[in-house]
Amino acid sequence: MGILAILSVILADFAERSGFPAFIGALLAGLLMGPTGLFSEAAIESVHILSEIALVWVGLYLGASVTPSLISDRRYLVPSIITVMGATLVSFFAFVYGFGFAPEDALRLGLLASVSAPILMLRSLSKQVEALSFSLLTSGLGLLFLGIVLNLQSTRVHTISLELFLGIGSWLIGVEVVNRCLQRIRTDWGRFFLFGTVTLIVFLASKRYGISALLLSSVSGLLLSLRREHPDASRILGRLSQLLAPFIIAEFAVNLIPSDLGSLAGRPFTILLAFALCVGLGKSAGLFLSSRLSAGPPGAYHTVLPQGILSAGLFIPLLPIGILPVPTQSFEIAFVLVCGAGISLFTLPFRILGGGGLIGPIQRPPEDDKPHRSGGFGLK
Amino acid sequence: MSLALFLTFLTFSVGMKVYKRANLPVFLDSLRDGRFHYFLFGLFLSVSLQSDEHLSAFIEGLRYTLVGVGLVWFGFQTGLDFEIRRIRRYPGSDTISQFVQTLASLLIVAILVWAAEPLLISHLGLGGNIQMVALVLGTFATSLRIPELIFYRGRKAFAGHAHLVNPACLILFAFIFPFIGEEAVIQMGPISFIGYTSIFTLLVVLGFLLGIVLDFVFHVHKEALKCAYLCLCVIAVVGGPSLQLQIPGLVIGFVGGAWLINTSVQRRTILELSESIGAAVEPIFFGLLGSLLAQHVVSPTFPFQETMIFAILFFMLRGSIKTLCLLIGRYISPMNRPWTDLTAMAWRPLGALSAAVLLQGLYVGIDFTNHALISGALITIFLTQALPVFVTRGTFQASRNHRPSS
Repeated sequence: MGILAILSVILADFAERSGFPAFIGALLAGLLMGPTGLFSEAAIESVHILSEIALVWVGLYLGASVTPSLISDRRYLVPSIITVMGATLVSFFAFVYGFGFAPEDALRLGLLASVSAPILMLRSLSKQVEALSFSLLTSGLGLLFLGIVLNLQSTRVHTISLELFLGIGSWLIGVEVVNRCLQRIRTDWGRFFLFGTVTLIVFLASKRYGISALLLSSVSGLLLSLRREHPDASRILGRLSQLLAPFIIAEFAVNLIPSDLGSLAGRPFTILLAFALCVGLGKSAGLFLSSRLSAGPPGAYHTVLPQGILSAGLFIPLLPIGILPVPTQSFEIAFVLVCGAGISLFTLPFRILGGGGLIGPIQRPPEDDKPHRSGGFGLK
Repeated sequence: MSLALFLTFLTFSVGMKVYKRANLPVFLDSLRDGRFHYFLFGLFLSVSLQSDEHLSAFIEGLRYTLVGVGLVWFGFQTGLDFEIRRIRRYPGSDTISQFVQTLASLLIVAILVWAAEPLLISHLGLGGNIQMVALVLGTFATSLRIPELIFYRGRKAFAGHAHLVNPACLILFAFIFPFIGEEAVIQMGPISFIGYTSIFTLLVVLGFLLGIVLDFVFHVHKEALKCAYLCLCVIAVVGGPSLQLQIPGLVIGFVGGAWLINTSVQRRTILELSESIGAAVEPIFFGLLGSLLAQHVVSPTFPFQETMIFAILFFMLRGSIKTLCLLIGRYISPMNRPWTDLTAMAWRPLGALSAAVLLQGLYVGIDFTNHALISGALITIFLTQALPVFVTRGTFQASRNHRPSS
């Protein structure tokens, strides 16, 4: 776990400095670590649990960042809604008519295309505040719709019972308690510790009640944000999320390379490629429609085109297993490598032409430039 | 679980208001300083989750790993106290006196524990390996809560170089462990470590490796949060082999911390950062400790009476032995102090490192069976913390204001 976490951060940094999304560096770390044999079954299981906990933290960040002021700003809200709807519909039709998927499966995968924007990568790029806000709102709305769709499609019967009321009641009270604590806690470390406790409780609750941890944490963060805006919450959650994201993606990628590489020979990768490109096509179409039909933040569309960390967290629960005549593992390789890396590479020429350059230093916001040497920890 | 969480949140909301408005008595404040409430939280959470077997199994695995890694951190923090440049400023006789006191109290406690082996096995469910138990309990009894300044009647009492005690404890632990370790041969990949010298070298080398890598991390990364994250990951990397090989992560962390503080040029940054990380690690550690004991404490066969008797006896024994050793130390380094000062020094409380030493026993081959011994020792920790001798509320606040961390 330690080696995976360190390697993923280092390679993610290196990828970012080379002009590629950090996603690719983290992916590479996982793909490199997978065949080394360092991971036994038990180790994979325990690392996966930690990765899920980290994903809960990212979900909290996403929810807490979707603030009422962001939602009420039409410059972001309208383009985000059009992006989500456009991406979902285009991918939906592509999957239904191109691959013959059932409508409910196609709808879920279509929503996946819209959800995963780089909510964390953009934090390290200066002058991208508008793109970050757009990306956050798109991901947040997509995740909300996805949660609604999953709930409607679920075959579980929810019986109204005292435990359900107590669960919802304790959830709402918990959000209120966290809100009050955030108003009283003055130090960054105190808030950090509070969010750590919330993360653990949300994770345990998701396991106990069989709810997606990412959805529960996102909605919890959203409730907290709607209750009262906490700018520090988003900042603190986001900074650690940037460090946790490479670990999550690397853990996801550890299992991708099979031990027997020869088993990959002769697989119909063209089908997989087409499948992955459909997801990318949906995202591109959604952004294109948004740029044409609304006055969104200029220059933000191509920056939110690549897939982000949420694709790693959501993919496995959403994928209709066995729907393609190939093993799931090979499919994951194609999906992650092409959808995540490929789209990012496709946008690279635009970024170079836009003056972004191929290799250069990461432009950090001014608050991150100063070394923290004056008293205390200095998360500020 | 819903009911448990519901009650926890309500208790927390009410507790916040009460804490804000009411002045806590000194002994409660001291317990709060010792993270007692986190221990209770972990205990309560684990008890309420016990009905869910899947969750319990998940927590069991995660807890074992996190506690093992946490031990390396506590050793590292203690190592940061072992700054040779600072130690050289003290008179040599004081340093020697403190070391002799530590050695004497460790040996006396260890011998008494060894002698009480039949009682510990029959009443507290100890599984054997009495030599290691004696070493762990001896080190445990000798350690202190740091930082700890003693004030009474409005003036600061002499603390007796308290910050030398914990490093001395771990140094002695490091030297004695290879003699009595469970594994005579440690296999690390293609390399075998056989005998005292090899195993001791392994501990030291892993510690140096930890220190060197952490030094590199501090040099390269200037952002505090990233530094902290990578530090904890490096500690996890080193903690892994210590869990696997059943060697004390405390010692490895101590060597790493001592190396780092004595060789790095960024001492101030390292100390500040470690203080902040410790403020987060300690509560989690005590929460995990609470959850570790929960499954045994609620069992109907848990020997409550024996555990309480052990806790009180050990508490009295520790204070008496440390008083005796202090009197011995006066012959090496004369101290013109009133008897009240000496008594206060002898009865200083146990702390987080003490709990860490106790749990180290779990990872070096001691079979605690029903964890009664751990529970009893933990009660001893909280008893020592609830007994701030000769301290009034005002002077306790004054002593807290002198602490570098919150």
